[in-house]
Amino acid sequence: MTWTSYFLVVHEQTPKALRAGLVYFLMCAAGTYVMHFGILLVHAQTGSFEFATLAASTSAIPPLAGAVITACFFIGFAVKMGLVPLQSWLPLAHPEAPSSISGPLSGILTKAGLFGMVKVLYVVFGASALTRFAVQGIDAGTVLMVLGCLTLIYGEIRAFFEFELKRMLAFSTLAQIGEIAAILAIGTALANDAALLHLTNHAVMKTLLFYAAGAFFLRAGGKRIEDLAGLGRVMPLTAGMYALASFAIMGLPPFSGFVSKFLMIYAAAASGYVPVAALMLLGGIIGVVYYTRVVSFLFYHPYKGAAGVREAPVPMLAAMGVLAAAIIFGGFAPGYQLSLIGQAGDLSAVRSALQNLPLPGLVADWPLGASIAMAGAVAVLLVGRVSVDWSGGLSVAVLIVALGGVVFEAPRYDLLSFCFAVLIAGVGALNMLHSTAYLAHSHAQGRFFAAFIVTIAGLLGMTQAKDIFSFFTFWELMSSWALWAAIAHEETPAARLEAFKYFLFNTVGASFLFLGLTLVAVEAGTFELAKVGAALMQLPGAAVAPAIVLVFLGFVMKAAMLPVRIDFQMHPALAPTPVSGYISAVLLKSGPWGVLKLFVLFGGAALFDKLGGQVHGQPLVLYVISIIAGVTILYAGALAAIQNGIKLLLIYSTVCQLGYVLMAVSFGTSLGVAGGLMHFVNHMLLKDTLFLVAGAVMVSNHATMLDELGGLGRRMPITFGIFLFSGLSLAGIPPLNGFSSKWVIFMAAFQSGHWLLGAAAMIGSLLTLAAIMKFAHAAFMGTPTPKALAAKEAPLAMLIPMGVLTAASVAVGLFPGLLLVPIAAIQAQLGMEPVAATLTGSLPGLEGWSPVLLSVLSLILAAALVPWLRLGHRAGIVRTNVHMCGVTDVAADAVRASTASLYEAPDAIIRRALFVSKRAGEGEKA
Amino acid sequence: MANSYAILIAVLLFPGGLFALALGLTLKGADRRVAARLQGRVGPPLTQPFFDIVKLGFKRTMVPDTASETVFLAAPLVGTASMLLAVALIPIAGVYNPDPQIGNLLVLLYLLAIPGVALMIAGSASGSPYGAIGFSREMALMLAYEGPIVLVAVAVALRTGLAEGHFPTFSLAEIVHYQQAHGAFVLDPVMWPAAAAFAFFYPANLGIVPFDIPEAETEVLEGPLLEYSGPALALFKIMSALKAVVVLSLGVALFMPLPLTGGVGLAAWVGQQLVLVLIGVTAVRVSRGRMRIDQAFVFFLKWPLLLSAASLAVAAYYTAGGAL
Repeated sequence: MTWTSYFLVVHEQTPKALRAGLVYFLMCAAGTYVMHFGILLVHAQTGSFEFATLAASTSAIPPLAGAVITACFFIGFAVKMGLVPLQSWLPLAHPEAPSSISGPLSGILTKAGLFGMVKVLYVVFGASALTRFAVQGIDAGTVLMVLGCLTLIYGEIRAFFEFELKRMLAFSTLAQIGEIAAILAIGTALANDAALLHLTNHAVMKTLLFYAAGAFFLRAGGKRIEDLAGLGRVMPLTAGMYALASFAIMGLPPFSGFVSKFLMIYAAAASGYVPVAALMLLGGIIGVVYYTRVVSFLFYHPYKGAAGVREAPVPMLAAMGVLAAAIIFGGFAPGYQLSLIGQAGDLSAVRSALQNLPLPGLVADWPLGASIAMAGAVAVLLVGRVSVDWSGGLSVAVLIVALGGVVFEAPRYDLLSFCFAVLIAGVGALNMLHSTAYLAHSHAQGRFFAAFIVTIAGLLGMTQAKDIFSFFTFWELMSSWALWAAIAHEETPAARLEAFKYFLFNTVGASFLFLGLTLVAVEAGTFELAKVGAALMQLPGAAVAPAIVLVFLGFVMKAAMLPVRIDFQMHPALAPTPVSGYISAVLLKSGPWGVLKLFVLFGGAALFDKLGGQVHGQPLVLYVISIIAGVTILYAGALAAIQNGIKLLLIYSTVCQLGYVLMAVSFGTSLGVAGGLMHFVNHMLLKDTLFLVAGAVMVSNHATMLDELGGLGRRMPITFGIFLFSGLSLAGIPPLNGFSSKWVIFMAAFQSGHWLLGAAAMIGSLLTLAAIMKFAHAAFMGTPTPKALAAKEAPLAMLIPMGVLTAASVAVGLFPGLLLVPIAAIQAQLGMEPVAATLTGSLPGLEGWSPVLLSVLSLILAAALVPWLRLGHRAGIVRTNVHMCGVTDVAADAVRASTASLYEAPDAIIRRALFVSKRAGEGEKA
Repeated sequence: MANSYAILIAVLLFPGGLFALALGLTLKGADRRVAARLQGRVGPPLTQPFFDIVKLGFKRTMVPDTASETVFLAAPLVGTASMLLAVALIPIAGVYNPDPQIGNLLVLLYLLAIPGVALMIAGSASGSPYGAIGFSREMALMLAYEGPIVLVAVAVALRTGLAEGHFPTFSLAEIVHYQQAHGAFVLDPVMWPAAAAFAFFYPANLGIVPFDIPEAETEVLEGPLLEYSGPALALFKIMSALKAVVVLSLGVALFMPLPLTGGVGLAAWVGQQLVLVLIGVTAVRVSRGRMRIDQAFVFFLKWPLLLSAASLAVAAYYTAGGAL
């Protein structure tokens, strides 16, 4: 095997290849000789070469000889695997070999070392023998784990700094091997299964990656990553499959790499090796960086290469296609692979006298809505290559059908999740409709639509998840690669950077959640969410505390709360506006939703009381979340008030409003949860409307900063009206719907003893008002710009979604019962005391007032005043020039107050108080 | 349905609607008259504000050609309607108790923001640069004075609610009732910081000297109001008169309701308003100069905010026995 592959490595016959081949051959041969010595020693001890005989007589080997034998075998295999410090041949040899060879070399040959490690050390010798051979308590397993971890980190870091594609892939192989070795070293049956599963998956993924790298080299001729820029345009199939394998190897669903990564983390957590799991997650985060970089070059950079570069030849495509199919198959239906692995794992488990755990069911449960969306995404992508209009229409249709799927499956959801799912699909369809108009003059629309739909599929699946694996699968599907692809759509450097930051931030958050959830599953001994609570109740608080804190940290990060710097999370400003709106309005709501749902599923207050007890009758964890959310309201509200970017302003305001939702939900009182859920929906409607308005404004003016706008209200009166309604409602102007829910939150805060948080929430509302008024003034009112005078009202495809959302806001503003009745039912189902609610009645709680009454009274009063106002119309309205004290020769631009100087005094104070530099937000293009 | 009629009457006739309108304009007249006397002028008759309104009603409406017309004309309408509604939310000790269905102190506080917002929109929608300056100043001033008033409201709610042994209460009726039984808060040293903070709040909220910065005639030609004329301008004048009634009666309800009832109670209540206007508005505005907006902003972040924070702490400490 060693010498045959030597010739494959040196095939290119360049000096570099020859040198690489030499190193490869020398190291592998040396390793083989060491192993040879071990084999001879074994023979001397047992008198046999037969594995079976060997296995039977391991107990006859004295410890010292055993240790030497183990060491010899270990070194021999370690060289083959490329474990640190015996790795130096691997990054030399793999890239130098022709790609068709480096694929199997990296994917399969290194696995031979692992195979031998498993076969000889675990199956033949067995764990008990290894323990006996240990020198000073350090057995082969410990050495393997330490070296595995070192290799993992070494590989990831080297790959991170690598700018040549195949060398990067080779280092990544090292990292993956290290990962597998570390898991293998854990030695439980579960860990062996996990390692073997990942081993097979990695073989497939890495082979595909090398094949694709070869195809790129063949067609475009560049070895460096930057040479790949824009190749996705000319070689879409190859690049697409490369991207697919990259996402799989990052451990993202719905691909095979995710399943095995999940299993490995679970195995590590299950056997108490949490640091190993954490290290793997850290490695995964680094992996996200360098793999995303390549995919970004392929698809989101302009093509600079020669004209006439063609798609890879058919045989290559066929080979890659088979591998890609295997990756997808392994992701959706890992059962076949798992049962094989299970059998193999059983062998070593029996030999090592390990308890044979059943494998957790690693098949995500795809609900109808998510399935429809996922299948639709593929269809949209295909149609998008033919017709933009058709793919846009199809996208909207897919989401409407998915909404039907959700409704059709209503009994499978709990009420909270059902309502969320309906909103996800419904608002998704509206945003999709808006984006068909928004992107009418853009590029690659099909790709964007598909990515957006995949995100929605993830959300839909998450709401319906019944077990921890499904939940996390869809969580990752919702906010990883698909969202990254949607945000990076504009293909500008800034968009790429922000998409990448967003991706990275989400990966970090998801990693906390990942570790937390697997720990929960381990502690509870079950994956089923419905049973987790009961199981956790049996355990002492200290055992579950880390898991729960990690899970909730993940949720709080999703909701973009402090103390995590929200700027990093909050910059998908450069995404196409409908998708930023969707993120703000819907996607980030999965944070508060998760807090509420898992709070109840984990056993509610009874469990949380065990974690650090109570503070003023509120579990400590929730108390901390309340305070974090309350501080975030003020912090993000103040930041929103000083923004000058069209979308940045709205995005910071989203964080502020999410603070309200999270704070109210975390009070845990009946009124608090009701108010939180009300605001959950109200903010979803209002903020989404605001974003869609922003999108309409940006399209009609090609602007990203508020300063580029002015006086649009005259030309876009409907858009302006919708903005003013939604904005003022969001800022808490009674009796609109945004105020109703905030009022409930204020009352809930005061009634649960959080007076300061209540006051903070009330002041935060004013900061929102400042932000909204700044937007209204800068964009719609004030002195008109020349562009504004030429602007047209938004197209119907934009007005319809905005109108529908506004109508919904008006409806729930008049009749909060429309929200409160379902909320009361949700509370009853969650086992809380439901708030008193009727369809047309007043707001719940003490001093509850009636929004419909207040609205009607306002309308009566306004109507009574209209005749008075009309008095002056008798002679017709007189059009005049604005009074300028007689100055007539000043250009309109010169008298327009710039947005940045609109709130000078407050602006300066806020910047000083929050340590925001004067220039922050001004250079931002958003 | 009797309930709805009672609410309608409260909003349209008494204490909101026509009664509040008459009271507001009378207070305005008194203020102008006394101010003139303090400055050594004769001054207009008490009824002058009424004449002004009627006169404006017969003028033509002018709309600048850069304005968004609908919003430009709707702004005074919404602002005035909100204040007519707000009057009906405030109880008059021993005379009028608002229906809890139309809202509590928290609703009132946010209704009180609407005239400011209406002025901002008015200035901004006119398209005039002076309006834009008014817009900017109005918002800055709102950011400055809303913080203290929120804290003052919470302090009062705490003092009342916790003393009665339950949550902080934002029911104005209950707050008035408590004071009628236990003595007005203005006599309670614990509430003095809150009362002082409120004393700073209301000239700012009403936009009078030294805080008439957004509408400063001599600097920005009345800013947001510059482009208004005729009935629309009259509506803004009505709005500001009504706002005075709202803010003053809020002050009375929060700090000095009298334990009286019936006609005497009502007369005393009107008297309180008159005194407050003459001391708190007229005397201040003839004796002070206007602040700059940055001075006012910093001023509010210093003294009233400090006072109101202190009031919250003191109220919580003395009422809840130390637990915040």
